[in-house]
Amino acid sequence: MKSQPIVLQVSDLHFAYGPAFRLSIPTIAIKAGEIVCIAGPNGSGKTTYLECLTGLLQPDKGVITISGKPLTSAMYRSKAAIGYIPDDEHWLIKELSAAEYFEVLMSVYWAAGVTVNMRQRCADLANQLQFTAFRQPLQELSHGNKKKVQIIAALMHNPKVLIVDELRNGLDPLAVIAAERIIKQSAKNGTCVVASTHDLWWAERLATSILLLVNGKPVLHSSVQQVKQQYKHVENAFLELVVP
Amino acid sequence: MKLITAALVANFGHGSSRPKQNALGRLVLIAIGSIALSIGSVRSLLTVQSSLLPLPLLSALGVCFALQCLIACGNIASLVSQKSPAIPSVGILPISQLRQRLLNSLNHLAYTAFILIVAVPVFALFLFKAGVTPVPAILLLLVASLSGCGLFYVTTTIKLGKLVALALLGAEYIALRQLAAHPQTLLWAALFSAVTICCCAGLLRFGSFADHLSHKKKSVKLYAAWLNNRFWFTKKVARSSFFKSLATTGVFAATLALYAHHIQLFNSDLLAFLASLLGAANAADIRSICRARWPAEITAIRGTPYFVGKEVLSLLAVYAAISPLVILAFVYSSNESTSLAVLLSSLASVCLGLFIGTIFTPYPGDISAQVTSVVCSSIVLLVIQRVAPLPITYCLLLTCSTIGSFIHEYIRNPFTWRYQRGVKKSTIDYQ
Repeated sequence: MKSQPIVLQVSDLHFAYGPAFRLSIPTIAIKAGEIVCIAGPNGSGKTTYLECLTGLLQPDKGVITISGKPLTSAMYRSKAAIGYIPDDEHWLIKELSAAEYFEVLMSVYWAAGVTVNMRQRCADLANQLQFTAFRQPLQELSHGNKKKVQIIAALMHNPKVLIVDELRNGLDPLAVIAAERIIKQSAKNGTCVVASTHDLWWAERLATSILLLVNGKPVLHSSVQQVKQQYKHVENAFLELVVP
Repeated sequence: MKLITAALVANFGHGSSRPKQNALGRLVLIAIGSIALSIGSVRSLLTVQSSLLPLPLLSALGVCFALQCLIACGNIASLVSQKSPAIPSVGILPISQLRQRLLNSLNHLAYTAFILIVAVPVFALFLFKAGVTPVPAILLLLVASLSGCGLFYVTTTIKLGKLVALALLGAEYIALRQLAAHPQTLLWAALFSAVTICCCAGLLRFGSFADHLSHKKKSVKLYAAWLNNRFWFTKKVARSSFFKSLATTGVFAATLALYAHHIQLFNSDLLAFLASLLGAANAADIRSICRARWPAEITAIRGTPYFVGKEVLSLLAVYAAISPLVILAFVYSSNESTSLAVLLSSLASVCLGLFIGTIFTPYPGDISAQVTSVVCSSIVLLVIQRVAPLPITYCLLLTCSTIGSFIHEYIRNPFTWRYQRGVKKSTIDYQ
């Protein structure tokens, strides 16, 4: 792992909305092939952090770089290196069918200079996730199928950085296994993955390192092996560090 | 291109089972409707005699003031419908910031285009009749449109923006009045131009407006927190963005009415028409709020009939907001029968806005449904105005649209059915 290059680097990130919440994360560097799981209680800033990483939210302070290039509005093409699986079906353009939605995304990524054969990649991912409802309007799809569409949409352009918010929500066990396999395969191919989850056993099984957030601040950031050595399980660390 | 098409389908076919067909249908309807409305208003202005019009300079500045006021006011009236972008995921796509912002604010741009299609021919004709040459007239209309948009961004993106916008409008109004009293002194014309340039500077806030729409995480101020919880409904109203936009619509309508009264340009038909546009826009906004967010009251208090009843009552607030225009139209009416027709037609427009909004406006953020509602209700009123502008016709329209909105809402409300069939009676019956 040490020989891998740093893909995503977040330096001294600060984001606040209102007096009630303040996210403040020191410098974190994530290497190619690394899977970082972000855990924490409700309202600890997991989704806010992920949205800052995607460029959806503009941090008040701090720099995010992908392969050395800063993620700023002027460098919008670097967003082509990001794939985002949100935990919200609101993100889809529900008025389109899945096939039309993928076509729209493909046209945008092609214009941004992505050279991956996205049609083939889409077909492969759909095959692995057993997704077949290409012609059905997205608004008519079940919650699980919408999640599958989001997974395909996030991975179709082979992003360097994959950001995942609650992957397992809405997916059936078979789809969860398939999605996990896809993510592991992507990591093996050099993608760095940042995933937020409430399932600590899943995090322990899948992640290479854990970032534990409480009230917008990290209370733990180390490799899963170290966490296991110190606390035996990630869940124990959570209970010890989060519960007052 | 595919992204723009997708944004149009998402905007204009929102919530429909056949989005593409619906989007196309609505776009065609809005285009034809806007042109029809424009022709209707132009015909109404043709009756004004050129000799009654003020001097070219004063006319030009007056048109600039009225158009910018109309654009800002129309957009504020439909602010609830413009609150969310058509494509929420646009922020994660690798597209330029300008494209992203344009896609985010497609709702607002569509609404502004609609107002321009309806209003520009009327104002252009007015300028022509007042003796303003084409090139300055085009430039003037362009500046007025830009400053109207700028004024709208000021109201939405800066602290105390609505007060700032009203102060700017007030300054313009005073300059216009002084210019009318002392046409030889160009100082007031210079002041007017300076304020208009300030309004145009509001365009610089476009980026902030468009970005604000796409950000999910916003800090919300809880107004009137010091009030006792027994006044929960007062708190709810004070914190509602609809209430704020309605109050601003009221002040803008009053300013427009004051100005119209001052230059004696508009006839009763045109004023009633203007009031109808604003009233229908606000009424459709009420519908969009109620349709998408079922508040606790609907299940916890007295069910749909009570809720729809309150909805109809809240139309009175809309009517109060646009009343300065209605009162002025009433004052200008030539005889008693016309006065009554003006009064009833404006009231009917609000109810019609609610009824057509019931059919077209399923969700907030659905500007196309709101524009369609406004276009349809305005066309119905225009047709009635041409065919049978009698108080009895308006009374009939008023009654039918109120009953229609009640029945339509009652049928579509799923809570009503569950409640009546007793499926969830044990959980809903809180009385």
